[in-house]
Amino acid sequence: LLIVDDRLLLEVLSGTQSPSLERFVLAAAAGELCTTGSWYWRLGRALSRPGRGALTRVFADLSEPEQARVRAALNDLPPGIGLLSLRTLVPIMRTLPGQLNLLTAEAIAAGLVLDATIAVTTPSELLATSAAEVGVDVETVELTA
Amino acid sequence: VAISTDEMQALIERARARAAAAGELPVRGGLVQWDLPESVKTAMRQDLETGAYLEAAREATSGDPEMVQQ
Repeated sequence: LLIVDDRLLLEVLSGTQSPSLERFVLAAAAGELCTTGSWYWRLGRALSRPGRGALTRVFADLSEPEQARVRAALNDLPPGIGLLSLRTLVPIMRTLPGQLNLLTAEAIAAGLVLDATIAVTTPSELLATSAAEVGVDVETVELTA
Repeated sequence: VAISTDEMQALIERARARAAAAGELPVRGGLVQWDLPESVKTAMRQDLETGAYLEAAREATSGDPEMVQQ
């Protein structure tokens, strides 16, 4: 399984087709793709209150049908994308070593429960080192056009 | 106080059971209705029970210019 960050979630939800996204779309179709509540919320929040961030810019560059698809999916996340609740994850999150923020703890706990790789578009030293400490793989994805 | 490996494993197993019972896990075919190339959608519909369709989808995608060249 794969756990994707907000940027990758945006790309998958939009239906954008590019070689770097192919395996994520296929994973979603196969029931092997998840995200976290923090990333889902961060994406939804960014697109509800557009600013100058990367998510807003990527969304603005999408075609109208792609934007509509993303909006619909943010209102009702497709069943092809798994999302573990905090009820499920907090018992794991509270036991993780180190000083972690919510976003990082949620992602690592989901990685442990799902035995999944965390795929991100922006490297995070905290995520990488903390995940490695408990045996969760983190992959940084380079998006191509 | 750090918990033991056994305790952590027990928590993980319990979380897995809870996630499955709560319907929090991803569902196969959950994106089939989307605008994917027909070859991929056809492959996704194949053999849902055995899981072999994912491999078929990969094969279909690898030969689909819409998926690999855009």
